[in-house]
Amino acid sequence: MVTNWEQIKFLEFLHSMLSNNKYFYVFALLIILVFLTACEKELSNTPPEKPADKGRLIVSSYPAGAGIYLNEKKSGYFTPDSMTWLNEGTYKLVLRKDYYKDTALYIEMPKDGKVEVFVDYLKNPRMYGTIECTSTPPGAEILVDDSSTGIITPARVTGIRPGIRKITFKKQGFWNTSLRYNVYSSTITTADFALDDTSKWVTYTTLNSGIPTDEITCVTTDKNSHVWAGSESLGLIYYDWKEWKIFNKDNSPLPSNYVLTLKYDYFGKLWIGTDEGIAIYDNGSWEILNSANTGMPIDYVSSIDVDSTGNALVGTKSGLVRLYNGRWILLNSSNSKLPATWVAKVKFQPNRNLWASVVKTCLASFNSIKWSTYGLPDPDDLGGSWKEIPPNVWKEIIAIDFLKSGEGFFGASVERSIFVLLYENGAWKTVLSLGDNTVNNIFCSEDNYVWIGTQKGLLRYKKNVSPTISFDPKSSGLKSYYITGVTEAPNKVMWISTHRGGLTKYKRFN
Amino acid sequence: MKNIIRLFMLSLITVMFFMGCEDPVKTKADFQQNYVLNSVIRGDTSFQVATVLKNYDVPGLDPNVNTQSQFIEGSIIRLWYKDTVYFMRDSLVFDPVVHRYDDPYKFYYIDGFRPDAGSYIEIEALLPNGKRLSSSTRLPERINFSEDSDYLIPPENRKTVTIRWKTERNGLMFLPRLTLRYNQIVGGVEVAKTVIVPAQFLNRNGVTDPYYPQASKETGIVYEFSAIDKVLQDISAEDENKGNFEIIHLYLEIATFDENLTSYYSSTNNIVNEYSIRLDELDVTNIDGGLGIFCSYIKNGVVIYFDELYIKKYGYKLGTN
Amino acid sequence: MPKYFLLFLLLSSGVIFAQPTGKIRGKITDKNTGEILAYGNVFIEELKKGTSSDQNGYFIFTGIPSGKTYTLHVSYVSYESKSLKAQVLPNKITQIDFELEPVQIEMQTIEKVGEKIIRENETDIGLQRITVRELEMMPKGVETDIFRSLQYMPGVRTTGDVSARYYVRGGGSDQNLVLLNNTTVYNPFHALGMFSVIDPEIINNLEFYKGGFTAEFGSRLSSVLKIITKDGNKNSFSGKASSSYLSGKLLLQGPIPGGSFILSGRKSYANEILKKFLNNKRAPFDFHDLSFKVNYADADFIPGAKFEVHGFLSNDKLLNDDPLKEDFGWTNNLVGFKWFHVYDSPLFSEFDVSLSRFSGEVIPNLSTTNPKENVVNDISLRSEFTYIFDSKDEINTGIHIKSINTKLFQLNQRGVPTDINNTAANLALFFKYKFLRYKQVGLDLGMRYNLAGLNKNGSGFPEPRISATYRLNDNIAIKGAWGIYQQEMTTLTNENEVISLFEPWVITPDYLSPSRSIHYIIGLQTRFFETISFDIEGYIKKTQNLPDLNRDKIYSTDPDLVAGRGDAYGWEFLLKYQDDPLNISAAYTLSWAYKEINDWVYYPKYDSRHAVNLSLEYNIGSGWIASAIWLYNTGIPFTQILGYYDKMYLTNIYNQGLGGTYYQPYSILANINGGRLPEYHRLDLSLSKKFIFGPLKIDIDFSILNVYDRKNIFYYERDTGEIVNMLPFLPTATVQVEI
Repeated sequence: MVTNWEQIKFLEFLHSMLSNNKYFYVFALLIILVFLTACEKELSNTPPEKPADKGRLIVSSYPAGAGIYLNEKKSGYFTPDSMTWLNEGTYKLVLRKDYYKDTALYIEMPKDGKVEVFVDYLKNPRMYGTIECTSTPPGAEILVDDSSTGIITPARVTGIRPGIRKITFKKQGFWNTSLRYNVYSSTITTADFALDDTSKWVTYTTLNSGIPTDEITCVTTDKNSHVWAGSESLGLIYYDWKEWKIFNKDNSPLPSNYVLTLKYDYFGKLWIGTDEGIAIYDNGSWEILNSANTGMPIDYVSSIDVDSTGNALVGTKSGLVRLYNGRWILLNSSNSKLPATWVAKVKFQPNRNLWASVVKTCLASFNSIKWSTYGLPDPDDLGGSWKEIPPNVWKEIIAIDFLKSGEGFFGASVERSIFVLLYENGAWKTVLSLGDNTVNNIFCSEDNYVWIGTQKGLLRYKKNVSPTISFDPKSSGLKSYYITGVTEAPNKVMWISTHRGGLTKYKRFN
Repeated sequence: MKNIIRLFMLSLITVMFFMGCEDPVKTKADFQQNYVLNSVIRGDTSFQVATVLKNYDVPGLDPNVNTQSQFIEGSIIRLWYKDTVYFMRDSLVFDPVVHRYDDPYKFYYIDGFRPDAGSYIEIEALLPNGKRLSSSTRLPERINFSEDSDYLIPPENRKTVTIRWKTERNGLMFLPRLTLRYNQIVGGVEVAKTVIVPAQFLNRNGVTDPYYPQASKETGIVYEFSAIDKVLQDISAEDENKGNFEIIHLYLEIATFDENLTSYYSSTNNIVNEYSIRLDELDVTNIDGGLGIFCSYIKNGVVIYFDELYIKKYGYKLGTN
Repeated sequence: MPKYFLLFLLLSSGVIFAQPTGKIRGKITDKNTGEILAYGNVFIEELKKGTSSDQNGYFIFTGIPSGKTYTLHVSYVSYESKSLKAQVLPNKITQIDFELEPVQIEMQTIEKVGEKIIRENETDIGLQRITVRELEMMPKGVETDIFRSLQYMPGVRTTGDVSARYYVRGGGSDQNLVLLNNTTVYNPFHALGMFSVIDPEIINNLEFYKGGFTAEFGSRLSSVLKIITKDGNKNSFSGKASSSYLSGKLLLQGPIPGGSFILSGRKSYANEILKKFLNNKRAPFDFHDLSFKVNYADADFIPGAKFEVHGFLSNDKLLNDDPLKEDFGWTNNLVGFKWFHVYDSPLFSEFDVSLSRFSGEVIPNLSTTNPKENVVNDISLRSEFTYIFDSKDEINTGIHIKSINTKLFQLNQRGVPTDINNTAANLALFFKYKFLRYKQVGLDLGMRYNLAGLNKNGSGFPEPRISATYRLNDNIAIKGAWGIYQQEMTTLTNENEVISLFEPWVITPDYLSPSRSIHYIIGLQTRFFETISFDIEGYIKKTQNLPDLNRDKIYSTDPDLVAGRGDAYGWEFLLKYQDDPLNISAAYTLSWAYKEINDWVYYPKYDSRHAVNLSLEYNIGSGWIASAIWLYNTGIPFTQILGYYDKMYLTNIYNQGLGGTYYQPYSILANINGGRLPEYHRLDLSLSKKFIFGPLKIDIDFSILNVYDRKNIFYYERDTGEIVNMLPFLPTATVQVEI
C-alpha cells in the first residue's frame, strides 16, 4: 500500500517538473536526439586495383639449364632467364638441375626493383658427388672421365662433378675396366668392379685369397664358369670370381666335409661325391643320395659320371652303381662281370660304352649289350676276354677321360711304372711313360689336349704334337706338384686343384 | 466548394511542378579496368585454346555499340600439368565467322596437350602489364555406361531409348549427343554421313521442331523412339531408292563437365525464369585476379546398334562400320 | 504461473479497498449486419472515463463505484453515436451492448468522443489500428490492396509500384508476420507479389505493428499484421459482386441459427492490366482465392462462448502452355477453429487450432529453368487468457505451440541443388502485465519464452518486452518501447531480385542461430488542437544472425545461408488534420538501413533516406468522396555498372574447332547497392461515388495512378541498357454492387 502511494507521489512530482509548460524542452531534446542518431554509417567499398609492381628477377647459373622454381612453384623457365612483374616482397627461389642438389635462396624484391641471381654450382663443395670405389682385387688406380685421379682402390673419390661420369679402374696385371655412373651432389655412388687379371697363372691359396683351405681334392666348373672344388676336410668350395664360399655339414645338407669327387651335369646339377654319400646341388636345393635311398652298397663314393640323358654311374668303395632310366642298379657278378670292390673311376665314353676301373682288379666296359673286362690275372675269378692286353701288364687304372672323337686316355700303373695308354678303335697303345710318377687324373680339353695331373706336376699331351709340356711350381704358377684335378671352364679358363697348393687358375689363351 | 477549388489548385500546382521532369541516373560507377581469362580444356583433343580480354566502357548503356574486340595479345600463359609446365603460344589469329567486331578473335593455343581424365591442371596468364590471372581445374573422370541401358534399336518397350551411366564425382553436368551414322550412295559413290538425333520432336502450334537434349545433371538420357524413327525416315526423304542407304549405328556421346564448367554453363545457359527480374546476375568465375572461366570437360561415347529386321523395314541395308 | 497470478490479484484488489465497485462490459456491433465494431470509443460521462472496444468488439470498465447509474456514450467512425444508461452493482458485471446504425451515405461525420481520455495511457507505440471503414477510403488503384495501403504509412517501404511486398523500418520482407484470424499466412501474394491474397472486402479490422510489438506476438522480427475477418451478416442474407480490371469478386453472407457465415471468392479473368506492371510482358496468370468464416454463439449451448471456423484458400497458376516454357503454381491453404470465451469475471480466453499450408513450385518442362519446390506445413495451437483488474490493470498470458514442416528443392544459379526437408516444433509461453491504473502512466511488461525452438539454437530463449507511456499533460505524451525478438524461419531468396516468383520458406538451419533483433523505440504524441495531431517516433533496430543467401554455394553440401547483421534507425513524423469534410495527413520519414553480410556493409534495396507521404481526402457530399495521395521518397539503392566485358558463351561443346564459343557483352557490377536511383514520386487521385439504385447499393470508383506520368525508374536492363519504369499514367475504375 505504502509503496503505491509513494510511487504516485513520485510520479506526480516528476509530472509537475516536466509539465510546467516546458514540453518544448522535451521537443528540443528530441530534435537533438534526431540529429545525434541521424548519422551515416560507413559502407564497404572495393579498393581500386593497384598496378602490378615491376620487379624483375634475372637468374643465371653455371652450368646453365637449371629449372627455376619460385615460391615452391615450377616456373617453366630455365637458367639463364628472367621473370618480370614481380611484386615487392620475399621470394623463395629454388634452382633445380639434374644430378645437382637444389639451391634455395630467399630474395628480397624491392618495389619495382631488379634482382640478379647467379648461382655457380661448382663453387659449392656440397654440389660435388662422391664415388666409393672398390675393386677385386684392390689396388687399382681410379680414372674419372679418362683422367687420372692418382687414387688407388679401395677409396672414396670426392669432388666429382655431378652428371654421368665414366669411371675406369686400372691395375697392373688386370684389364682396364670402366662403367658410366650417375653422380649426384652430396651423394655417394658405389663403383665396385671385379677386375679381370691379365696373367696366365693365378693360384689361390689361403695366403693370398679367401680360399678356406689349400688341400683341394677335385675341381669342376659350372655353366657360368664359376668354380666348384672339393676339400679334404672343409666341404665344398665355391668361387664366383668375386668371393669364396663354403658349403659344409654345418651350413648345408652336405653329408660330409670330405669331398671326393664332383660332377657338373648337363642339367646344371652338381653331383658331390663324399665318403658319406652323394649330395646333388641344384641351384640352391639339395638332394642326398646314399645307400639308404639308392642301390648304392656303401656311402663311400669315389667317382661319379652323368651322361646327357641323365643316366649316372657311381663308383663306390664296394662296387658300381648305375642309375638307368631312373632306377638304381648295383652291378655285380650276376649282372656284369664286376666284383663288388672299390671302383676307382667311372666314365661314359661319348656315344659309346661306359667304363669303370676296379681297383687292383680290372677295367670293365659295357657297350649296352655286354660287358668286357680288361686286365688283371685271375681269369678264374672273372673270366672274359683278355686277348687285347697282356694281363700282367698293369695293376690298375686310376684315371680315364675321352676325347670328343671317342679316343680314350687311361692312366695305368704297371709294376711300379706308370704309363698313359691310348685306347683307339679297340687297340691299346702306350703314349707316355712316366716312371714312378703317379697319374691322379686325366682331362681332355675341347681342343684335344690331354691334361694329365700327376703327383709331380701337370702334363700336357697332344697326339702328333711334341713335345709334351710339363707344368710344375718351377715352370708355372702352380704352387704344388701334387695335382688332384684339372678342368676347363666354358670361359676357357683352366682350373687345377692341388694337394696343399690351393687352386690354380690357368688362362692358357692369354 | 472553396475547398474543392483549393484542392484542385493544389493538385494542379503539384502536377505542373513535377510534370515531365526526368532525372538522370548515374548508372555507372567509376570505370575500373578488369581482365578476363577464358580457357576450356578439352579431354578429347590435344589442341587447347585460351583467350585473354579486358573490360571496357561505352557511352550510354548499350554495350553493343562497342565494335572493338577486347582481346589482349602478348600474355604469357602457362599450364601446370603433372610435373611439367606448358606454355601457350601467342595469339593465333582465327576468324572462322564474321563476328560483330571490326577485328578478329585472338586465341592463345597449345598443340599436343591432351590431359588425362581426372587430372589436375593449373593455369596462369601474365598479361603484358604485369597483371596475373590464375585458376585450376580437375578434369572429370570418364563415365561408365550402365548395363541396364538400351543398346539395341528397337528398344524393348518400343517407346523410349534410355541410356544410363555412372560417374565418380557427383554434381557434374552432362551434355549428350546422339548421332546416326549411315552411308548413302550419291551418284554412284558411297558417302559417309551423320545426322544428329533429337531427344524428341515437339509439336508447337502445328510446327514440328526437334528438341535436342540440354546439359543436365541427370546420369541418364531418354530419347523417344519415335524421334529415332523419324530421323531414319527423314534421311531418305529426297531419295526414292531406299537401297542407297546403309545404316551403320547410332553413337551416343556424353560430354562430362567439370565443376567449374557445370557452374558456368548453369549460369550462362539457364534462365531463372521468364518473369523474375534480378539485377545482380551471378557472374560465375573462378579466375583469381579477374573474371572468366577455366574449366574442362571430357567426352566418351557408346555405340547403339540396330536390329537388322527393323532397318530392313525402311528398305535400308544394315551396314557394319 | 498461478502463484504469480494470485499475487497480482492481491495487489490489485488492495487498491480498490476503499469503495465497493462494479464493472461494465459490452460489445459494439453494427445494427444492420451484426458485424462487430472494433476500436470504437466508449465513454462514461459521469466519470470522464473512457475505453475502446477490442478486436472482438468488446469493451470493459472495471473499478466503477457501484450503486449508481452511468451514461455510456459510444461513437464510431461513420456510425451514429449512441448513449445508453447502465446501473452498476457492487462486484457485478453489468452487460450493456451497443448496436450502432451506419450514417447515411450523404453525411459521413467523424465523431470521436473522449478520444483524449481513452488514449491517455495507451501503450501503443508503433501500433496502427485500421478499421474496415478506413480501409475503404483509401485509393483503390487497380484493386484495393491492404499491403499497398500499408505502404502509405511512414516507416513502411516498397521497392516498386509492381510489388505489394513491403519492408518495415529497415527489415526484410520475410520479417513481417501476417496473421489471418491468428493463423500465419506464409506467402500472402498473388501474381508475382503484385497483389495481396487477402480481399479487403472480408476484413473487419486489422492491427499493424511497425515494431515494439508486445509479448503475444512471436516468430518475426519486424512487423505484425493481424487481420480479423468479418463474421458475416447476422440479420439478413446479402450478396455483393464487384469487378475490376483484374478480377471478379463475389461475397455472400447471412445468418445461421446461433450465428452467421460469410463466403467470399475472387477470380482473375483478365491479365491485360498486368502488362502495365510487367514492362509489357505477357504473363498468363490465373489466380483465385476463397475465404469463409462461420461463427456460432449460443447462450443456451455454452454461455459466453463464441466458436468460429474459418478458412482461406488461394491458388495461383502461371501456365504457359508451351513445352519450352516453364510453369508455376503456388497455393496457400488455411483452416482454423477458434473458441472465444467471455467469463462471468473480467476474464477472456481464446483457444485456436489452425493449419496453414503453403506450397509453390516451378515446373521447368523442357525449358532451361531450374525446377523448384517449396512446401510449408504449419500446425498451430494457441491458448490465451486476459484478465482485467478493478484497477484497470490487465494480465495476459498464453501458450503457443507450432509444428512446422518445410520442404525445399531448388537449384541455384550455379546449378547446385538445395534439398531440405525439416520438421520442428516451437513451444512458446508468454506473460504480460499491463499497468493502466495511473492516468499518466501506462506500462506493458511482457516476457515471451521459447521453451522449444524450431532451430536448435532457438530453444530456451527469453524475449523480454516493455512498452510504456507517460503523459505530460493533456496535449503531449512520451512513449517508448523496448524488446528482444527472435525469428526462426527465413525465405531462401535473393533479396536483389526485383520481381521474384519463388520465395521459399525454410526453418533456419541448425548451423545458424535464429535471427534476433532488439528494438528501441521512443515517441512523442501531441494533440494541441482537437483537429490536429502531431506524432514523432524514433527507432533503432539491431539485428543479428540475419540469414542471407550464400551466393558462393558451389557444392550441394555448402550451406545455403550465411549469417549477417542488420542495422536500421530513423525518425517518423506524422501530422494529421481531421476536420470534416477534409482529412489531411502528412508524414515524413528519415531513415537508414544497413546490412552486413560477410563483413561487407551495404544498403539493402529498401533503404531510402527521406520519404514524404501526403494524403488528402475530401468528402464532397452526396456520396462523392475525392482523395489524393502524393508519395515521395529519395532514391533506393541499386548496383551500378563498373564496365562491360565480352563474356564467353559456349554454344557447342561438340564443335571440334574454335567456333564452339562466342562472346557477348556482359556488365560488371560495382559495389552492391552502391548507387541510388533518382527520387520517386507519384500522385494518385481517386473519386468515388456511392448510390442506391433500387435494391442495389452501387459503389463506383475512378482512380488515376501516377497522374502526372512521372517516369519512376523501376530498374534498367543491364545487357541492353533499357530503362524500365514503374507504373505509367493509369486510369482505372471499379464497380461494386451490393444486394
